[in-house]
Amino acid sequence: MKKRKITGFASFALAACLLLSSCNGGSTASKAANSAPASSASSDASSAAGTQADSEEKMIAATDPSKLPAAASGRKDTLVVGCADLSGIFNQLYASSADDWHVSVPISGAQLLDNDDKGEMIPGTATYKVSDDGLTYTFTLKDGDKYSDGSPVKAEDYVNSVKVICDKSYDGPLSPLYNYNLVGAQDYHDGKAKDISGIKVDGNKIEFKLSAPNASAIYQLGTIIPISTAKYGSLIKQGDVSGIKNLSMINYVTNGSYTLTDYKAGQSATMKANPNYYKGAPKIPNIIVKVVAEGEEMQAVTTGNVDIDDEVTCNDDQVAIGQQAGFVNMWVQPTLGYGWVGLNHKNDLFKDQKVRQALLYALDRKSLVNSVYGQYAHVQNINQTAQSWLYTEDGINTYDYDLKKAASLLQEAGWTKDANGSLTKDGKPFKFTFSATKGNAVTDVMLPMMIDAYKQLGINMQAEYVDWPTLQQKFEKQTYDMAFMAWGLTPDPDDSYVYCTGGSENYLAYSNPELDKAYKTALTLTDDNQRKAQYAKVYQIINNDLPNFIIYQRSDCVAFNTRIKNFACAPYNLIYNQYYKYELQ
Amino acid sequence: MKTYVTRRLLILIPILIGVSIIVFLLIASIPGDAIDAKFGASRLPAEKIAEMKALLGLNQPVGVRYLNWLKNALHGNLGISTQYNLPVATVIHDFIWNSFLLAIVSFVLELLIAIPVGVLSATKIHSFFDNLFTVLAFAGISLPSFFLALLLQKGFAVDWKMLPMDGMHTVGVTLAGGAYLMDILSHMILPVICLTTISVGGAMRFVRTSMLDVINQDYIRTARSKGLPERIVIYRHALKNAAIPIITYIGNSLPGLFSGALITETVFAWPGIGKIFLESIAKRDYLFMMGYVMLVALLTMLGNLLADILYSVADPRIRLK
Repeated sequence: MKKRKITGFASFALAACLLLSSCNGGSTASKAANSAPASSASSDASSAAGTQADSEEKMIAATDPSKLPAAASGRKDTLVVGCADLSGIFNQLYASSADDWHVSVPISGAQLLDNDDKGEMIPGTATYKVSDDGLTYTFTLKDGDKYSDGSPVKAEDYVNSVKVICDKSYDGPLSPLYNYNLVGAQDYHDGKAKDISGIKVDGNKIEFKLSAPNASAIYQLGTIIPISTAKYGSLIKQGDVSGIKNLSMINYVTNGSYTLTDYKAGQSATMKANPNYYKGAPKIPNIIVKVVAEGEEMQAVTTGNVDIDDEVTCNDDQVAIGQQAGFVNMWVQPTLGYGWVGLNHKNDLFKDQKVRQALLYALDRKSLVNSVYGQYAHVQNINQTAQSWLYTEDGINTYDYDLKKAASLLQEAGWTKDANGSLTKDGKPFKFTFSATKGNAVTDVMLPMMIDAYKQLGINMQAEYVDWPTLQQKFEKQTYDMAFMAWGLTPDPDDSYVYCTGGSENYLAYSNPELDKAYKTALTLTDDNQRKAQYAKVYQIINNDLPNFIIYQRSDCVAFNTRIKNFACAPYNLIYNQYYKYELQ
Repeated sequence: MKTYVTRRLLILIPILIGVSIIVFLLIASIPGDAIDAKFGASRLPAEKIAEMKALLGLNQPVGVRYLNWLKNALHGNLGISTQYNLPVATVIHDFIWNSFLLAIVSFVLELLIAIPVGVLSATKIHSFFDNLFTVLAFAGISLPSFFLALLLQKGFAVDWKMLPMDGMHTVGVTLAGGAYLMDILSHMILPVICLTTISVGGAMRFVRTSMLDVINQDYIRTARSKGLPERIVIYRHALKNAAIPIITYIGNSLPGLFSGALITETVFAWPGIGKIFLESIAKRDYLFMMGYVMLVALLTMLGNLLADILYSVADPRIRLK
């Protein structure tokens, strides 16, 4: 049950923070379940957490397919997928929980672009070109894409969803495109123009014009899905898109891989293959996404209740249960995201870089990660995961646990121990409060560890427990000292809004002109090599100055039975992006 | 009687308004709101967040928000649930009957077991039978529901594969008529056993105590001494007089039949209202919380009224004016 709390927590962040992450993944190094070598779960248990080897993808293959329960083998044309909850909001423009994406991603539509397993954008329903000045993005639709009802997908259909997202009555999780400098988007939002002047449709071409270069734009434009003008065009009214919001998604006409045929509130959603899907008709005729109680994901697979569940807590116990069942394959992959500790820079205590570094040196992240996730997580040092093409370890300090170093850094910063052993400076004690959500597996272990380590340094740290929206408000109003958060990433590497001065999510109240400049430059670059070098700079600055403490990257475990062939899954391309590839034995 | 009921129903109105004011204020004072819960930690620009809060009217003073809610509620409109993007009444309707189904079956079972066992325990006080059921009752009361639920699930569903593990329907098969009902029934067995086990002990003790109060009274001795069979003494004379507290118990159980069993529903992934309500708090789904709490408040008061009416049926000395 423990992991769920984290993912539940993470999925809020994920849901909100990060957009249509990686829908409908394209060409990937997909791994067939039965061809992957079996590797024992304990084979690399000896290597300490913190090395990159721990976080590699691996398949723990089934050993005895004959044990497949009748409950599962009896289902012929249907795949049953488990997930923790279904809210019934299955329109991708409005779906804001990672659970709902198990349904909303395949049924809402196929995107202009996909991303590969490194997070780079590749052609989806369209190919694309960016002008040299980085201002014009031209998408050319591939020929012959059709909706599930057989009607053709037209270029203007893609404009429909842009209009919805930019409308002032839109209240979904997607960022309005005026945020990415799309010309005319703001005027459309404000009702000053009937159309978005920066979008031109010409035959099978769609052209987007930006007022200033923005490297994030490609991820926003690329994830646009079409809404059939013939079918739903009348629902899109400027200033009122409630027609789209309230539209029933049952039998929604889509160019996605599946269509929704039935939904039982809070229980299950049934989907049927869309034979017109542009990557080829999905091989499995029916998919049912079923709610499985949190913490019981592995049991649901071992009893044959569900065929696949990608929310299994990734630890030794769960893997052992799966192995014992014999017919369960387990795909372990690093979670695309990380957990971190935020510091409120409005608090004078944290204004000194040396103090921040000392506090991180005093936290034994290796032991922490090991005791919470065992071998299935590792210490993370930068705000980008090793799965990304932008990842780097050059010039990155790993801040290995070192209490002595922490003590000397604090001394350099002017903090001295008084007679009682408490750290003081200018007569003030080093005292602060850590805000955490209750029942979070990581903070449950981390807080006692921190309190103890900091106490040795003479620092008085208290812990307080609040629920998520309360914590969120503390972040927004910057009324916390220190707090824990975990979130997911998307292919878009831009997280300047977290770290830059005045960023929309800079709850750290952090300001560093050098970093602001580095991010600003990164956002204007469209050349991959230049971007990679620029982001390396960004990561180095953050790693050195420590606006926050990046703690760990954990792993996901996808458990599935031997009915499923051609299994594919990657951190950037999760199972709901890949349903169409799967086959049933 | 008629005037009594009418008067009681009229009194409900000011009470409900009072309850709604208090609940609304309490809900509004929880830090964070639906937009924070849904889109907090998002890269949406601050203006967009403000725009969405304004769409929900969250930028207005609490008093105005309450009056808007009241006006809509009086027109039968409980608002839209932010969590499900559906009218609150629809969400309640979608889930409450699933909860009711579990609750009513286990409640009937509870009474069917508790009344005869409680009566027998009282008549044979300190016997082996009484002691055995006293122990069992306390065991049932003390069992944490999540533990019992997980135990039942592990035994019957995971290890022995006799019963379905969770949910309300078997997915991937199309069933109709009798087979459909049997399917739901088989999914109900474990949660019903769980709910009955944890609640039957309390009811049993309740009946036993009520009976003990009555059984030593003079008129029972009189009934016995005039030669009535023991069965009639106990079930006609004693039980009827012991019924008043039992009726109170039944009346008080009315809201519980609709309010859902959070833990049991969660473990068995039963699509009930209890889990939905808990999530609505975490997601600051104000209007759903309001709608649900008001429904439970109404049911509580109706339960009390029902108990009062039943008193007069059980005991003609009680007259309702």
